[in-house]
Amino acid sequence: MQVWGTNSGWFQLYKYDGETFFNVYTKKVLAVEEGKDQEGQNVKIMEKSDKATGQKWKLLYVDLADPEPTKGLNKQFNFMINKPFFLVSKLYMNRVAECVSANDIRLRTLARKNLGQQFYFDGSSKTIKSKQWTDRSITIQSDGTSSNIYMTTTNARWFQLFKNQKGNIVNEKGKVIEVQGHIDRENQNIGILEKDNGLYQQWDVIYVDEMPKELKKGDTNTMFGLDVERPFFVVTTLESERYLDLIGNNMVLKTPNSFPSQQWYFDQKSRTIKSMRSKNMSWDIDGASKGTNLSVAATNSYKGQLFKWDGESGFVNMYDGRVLDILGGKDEEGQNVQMSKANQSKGQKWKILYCDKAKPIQMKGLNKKFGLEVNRPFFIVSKMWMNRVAECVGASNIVIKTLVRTNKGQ
Amino acid sequence: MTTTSARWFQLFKLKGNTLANMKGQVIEVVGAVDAENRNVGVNNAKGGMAQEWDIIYVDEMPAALKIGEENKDWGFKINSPFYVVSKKARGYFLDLLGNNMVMKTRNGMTSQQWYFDQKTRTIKSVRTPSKSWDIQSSGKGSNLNVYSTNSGWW
Repeated sequence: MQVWGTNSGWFQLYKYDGETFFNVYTKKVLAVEEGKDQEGQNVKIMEKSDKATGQKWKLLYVDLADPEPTKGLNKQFNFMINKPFFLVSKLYMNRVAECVSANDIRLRTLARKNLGQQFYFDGSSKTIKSKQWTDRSITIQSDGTSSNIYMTTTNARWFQLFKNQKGNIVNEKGKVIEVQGHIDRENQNIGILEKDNGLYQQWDVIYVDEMPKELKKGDTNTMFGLDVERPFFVVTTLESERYLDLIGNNMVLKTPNSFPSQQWYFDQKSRTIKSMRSKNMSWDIDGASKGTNLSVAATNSYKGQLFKWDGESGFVNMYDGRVLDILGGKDEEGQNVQMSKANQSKGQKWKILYCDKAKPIQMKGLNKKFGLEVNRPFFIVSKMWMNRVAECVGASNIVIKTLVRTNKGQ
Repeated sequence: MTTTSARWFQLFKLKGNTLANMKGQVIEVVGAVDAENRNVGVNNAKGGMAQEWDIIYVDEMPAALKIGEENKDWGFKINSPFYVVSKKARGYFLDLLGNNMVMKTRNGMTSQQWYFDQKTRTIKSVRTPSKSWDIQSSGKGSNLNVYSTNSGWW
């Protein structure tokens, strides 16, 4: 069937008998092709048949039709009508979908006041519209044949209809919206593909007025198991209780020394663990997360930089499940720390000690591990016959010399 | 001495009489030569005085021995002149002929008087205070004389 310029030919004349629309001349009736009750199904003119489905219609006068609901839940699509929401990716950075330049839809960090990140379900067109460009709806490009989605003028065709279904945004044809390439990074494109239900296809619809507040310093990020911006030490459970430290940018085990290279904090914005020594750097698995060595590198929040603290399993990479592991389980100064599959060995067990809860650094008294009194000056007296003492000469070399009590070089 | 990095090669423990690092090496007087300005280094632990040290806190460092006080390690009173008397029947006194050590009858000369010098830990001649008992040829000989003080083991 089609519409055409009015000419009142017999093929433009139809009557309604309370159930069917039929042509006055042929008596053929308006029918859904193959009787299929689906979006966009073609409508034809056919011989009337009591057995055929899709030939019966209701005539609903516009002035008698119920008004379209303007609020409340649309049960079919599972969206609240006309209520702005963020489409929040379940990838670990929890970025949101954003309509960019009234066209592309990309993954971006939440900016609550950016209307490009706010969408709403339009109760009339049943499409998802942009709060910023209200004449546009999320659309599968190329009339539904593309794997890309974008914003375009609302037409309510099947490739503009999406349901909110158990964490997926599902189109009429069963495809789901996903982060393309499965890469959780700023400005990554969003598209549509067959459902495999990876995290990159999972979304939370969070209505703007229900969006949780941003975590503040000291709040716990439950997904990552760490307090936001609260410095901590990472302490091995091996006998020495050495701390995780840096030599250059490489991660090793070292005796506590109060240097900021032994202090770390969870950065909410990047979701990474940063070094207090170099705040632009985060824990990083070498080789773009494919290697085994662990170091710090410029913060990028990619796969190799996202770790959660799980007291039982230690520090776990969010993507590959590997854990922080002391090479060979050796409790030695400067021993390398790397990533390994979890094996429950002691070299993979750690404690977190928040700096504000840690005992203050010992400022006096005997350090039992080293056998020396802290901050108490001493002479190093040779047991050779002359009992000379060690002296630092020229701020560099150490020699033995006759004791001169007032010489601080001794 | 260099800027503090707290790396393993800056960490030393007091282990018995040694200062040992994390790899088991200890601080030692290089070459085991007990001489002024002798370099101090690090080596595998093998025992010996060159690797042994006392840590004496500055506020506990014993006061320097004064004249007349006994140095118990060495068994002498500081700067207190003494004779060295043979226990043989004739009771000769240790004396000097030139710089050579001999036995002589007591004669009241300063060449028969000696004292322990705390600073150099040597036994000096009252006759010639710049000289100390010395085994000839830097300890290789068997003769004993007095020689310019150098605090060598000989």
